[in-house]
Amino acid sequence: MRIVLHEMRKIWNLKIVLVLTLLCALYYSIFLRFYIEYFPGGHSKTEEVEYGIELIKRYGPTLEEDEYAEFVRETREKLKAEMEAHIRSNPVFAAAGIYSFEDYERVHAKYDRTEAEEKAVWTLLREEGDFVRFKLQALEFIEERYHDYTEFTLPRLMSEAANGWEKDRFAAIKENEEYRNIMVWWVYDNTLDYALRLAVLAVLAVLALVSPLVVSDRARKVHLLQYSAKEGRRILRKQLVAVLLSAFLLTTLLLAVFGAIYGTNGTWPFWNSGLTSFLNHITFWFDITYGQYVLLYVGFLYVLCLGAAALAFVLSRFSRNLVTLILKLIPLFTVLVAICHLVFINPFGFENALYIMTGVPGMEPVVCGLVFIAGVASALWLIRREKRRT
Amino acid sequence: MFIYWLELRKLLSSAAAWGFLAVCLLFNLFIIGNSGNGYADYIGAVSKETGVVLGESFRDRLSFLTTDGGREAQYLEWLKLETHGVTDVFEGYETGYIGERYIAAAGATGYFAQAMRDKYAALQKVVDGKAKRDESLSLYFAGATYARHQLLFKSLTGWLTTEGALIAALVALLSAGYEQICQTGDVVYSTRKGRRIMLPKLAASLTAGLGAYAILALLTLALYFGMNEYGEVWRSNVSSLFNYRVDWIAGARPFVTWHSFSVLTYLLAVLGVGAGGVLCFSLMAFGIGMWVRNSYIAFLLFLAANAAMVAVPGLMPQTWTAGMAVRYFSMLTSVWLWLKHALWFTDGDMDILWAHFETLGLGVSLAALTAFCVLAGIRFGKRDLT
Repeated sequence: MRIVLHEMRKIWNLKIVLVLTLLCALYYSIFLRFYIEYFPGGHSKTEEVEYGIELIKRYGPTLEEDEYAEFVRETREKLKAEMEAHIRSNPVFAAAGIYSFEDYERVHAKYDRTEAEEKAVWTLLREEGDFVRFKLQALEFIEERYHDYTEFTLPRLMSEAANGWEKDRFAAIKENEEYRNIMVWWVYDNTLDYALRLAVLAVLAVLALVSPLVVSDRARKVHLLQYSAKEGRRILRKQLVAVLLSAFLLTTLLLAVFGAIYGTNGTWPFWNSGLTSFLNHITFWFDITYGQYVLLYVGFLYVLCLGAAALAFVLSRFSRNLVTLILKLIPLFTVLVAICHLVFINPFGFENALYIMTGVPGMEPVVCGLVFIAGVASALWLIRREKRRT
Repeated sequence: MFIYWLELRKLLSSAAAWGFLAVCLLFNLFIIGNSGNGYADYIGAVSKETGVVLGESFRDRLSFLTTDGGREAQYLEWLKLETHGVTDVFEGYETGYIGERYIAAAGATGYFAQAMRDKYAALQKVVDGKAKRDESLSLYFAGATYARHQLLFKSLTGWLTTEGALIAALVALLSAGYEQICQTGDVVYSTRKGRRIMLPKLAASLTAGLGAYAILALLTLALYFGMNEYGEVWRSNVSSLFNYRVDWIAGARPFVTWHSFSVLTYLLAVLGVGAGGVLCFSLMAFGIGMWVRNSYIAFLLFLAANAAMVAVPGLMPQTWTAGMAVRYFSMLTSVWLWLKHALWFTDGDMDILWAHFETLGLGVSLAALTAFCVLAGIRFGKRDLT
């Protein structure tokens, strides 16, 4: 263990760690910041997410018929009152001939509005009108989706099902009423985009951190000294352990830091919500919750990062210097990024690229597992080979 | 000169670099292999008979074309429909609104707003010239133009520049750090003459980087044009009425270039600027390689420097004049030129303030990076390497 720790000290070289920190910060600023600063991303997305959270707080992760009716009735009345208060207090409405909620809706639906009407309509769509018309729009969207899901969406999806598996799944959704889950599409979509980019960063950081260990030793010809002793012959195994432990630590660190940053988006209320929902556009192969999705993502990312680290370890052994190592790491990174896209875009969903390509559901863990097995198996083969070499 | 050849030989003997080149070619082949477009190929084939200038004679020649039925008959029908009664899109086309939309979206004021207006006033003259010459009445790939143009000038040439830049940067780092890697640095750099070896090393790495880009471009384009029929479309004008571009602020609009380009000349021009970009990245990597002795950390710093150039404009408050200046001047850096490669030789987008931004940017980047390399070289000459 003492040697493993020493090897880890070599991996966590201060200069590399500092440059990696800088790279992670820049990566965050270019690829991740957007999903934090611009979430939910305008109106009426904001209102839809707010209503989603309100629904969960009031009724739990599912929305039953009576709960739905109560929410819509109460919210509509509240919004109507709010809009009428604005209409009464702001002269811009009277100038456009708007004196009540009904008048406003009539003008809102018109195509050829006068300048005064345009001004009045936009008043309730802006901050001065507390975006109240967007709130109504979000409520109408929820109403539409709730009604349409069993009446139109599900029957259409069932008729368009590509195979028996899909048909069975839609039947199960209908039977178990999974569509009653409250999961706002924008929350799922934002988490997915952030998670995908974070996975790419984790793979990049792991490759960058652990790769130089073996090649640096060999470039300094330290291995010649090491291989002259029995203990030294076991050094590669210890280096592999150090590489895997470092990859695990770095992945944990990245997940902790960037997960904590994502936590500020306030999507936690959806933790127990099923992803297959009347508000979500994706159908999933099983009744998976948002929280379970996050945990599965974390698990997959660990497996992928450990596999990537093991593959980098093998490539490092076969590189004569650090530049040739980079020349080998770039194609590996490209392949791993492609795998991230295959695995982390709509995992366990009907729209997942792996499912579309293979026609077999649930390939995501298989692909991650294969990367891990390929990495670790080739590393173990390398260690055995090295032990016997003269 | 002798040292130059020796240094070049060192770089060319790197099996990993050749392997990387082969992987890049495979990747490009994958892109090309997934880009089949039967309709575009048909247009390429018939263009040999119809020519590419849309007009009376084109219609006559098109009407004489016959097919054996099936898919070709459908393609011919589409072609007739798409080219029937076409008019010059540049006739009466005003460009001023584009500049105004960009100014409003960016919140540009003062000099920046004026420069943007000046750019679109200059573009208006170009558009008027194009209208006079009926440049838009050019076949290109008719309805398949956008897909083919994007494939060649956005996807393929974009990847070529990326791959060329990466390999050029790595070759430069290999060259700069070679003595360190081979542990011959203590001997070589112990004399003044030895320290001057950096100059032939730089020349060798620039040659190798450009050579790698040229080989990649040559082989990739040979494969591309071998698999996609271009016929007479080479002579089509890229500002054809069928070609367009879309941006979020100004919407869909004709593809206007500052000069009159055929597909062939535009491709050559894009490859030329691509080569310039490759030179820039090579210079940058070599300069960093002289500052930082560890090639691995040097490469990570190379990535960080480019990432910083991408990130900084987004971090600057756009309400400040300085923030806006940083944003517009950043577009002249090599990394932004690379990111905007699909807009080279056009008026660019909201971030582009000056006409001919690619030429201007290339000049500025090359000058700045050469100065950086010279500074790094001077520092290296005096540096304590113990």
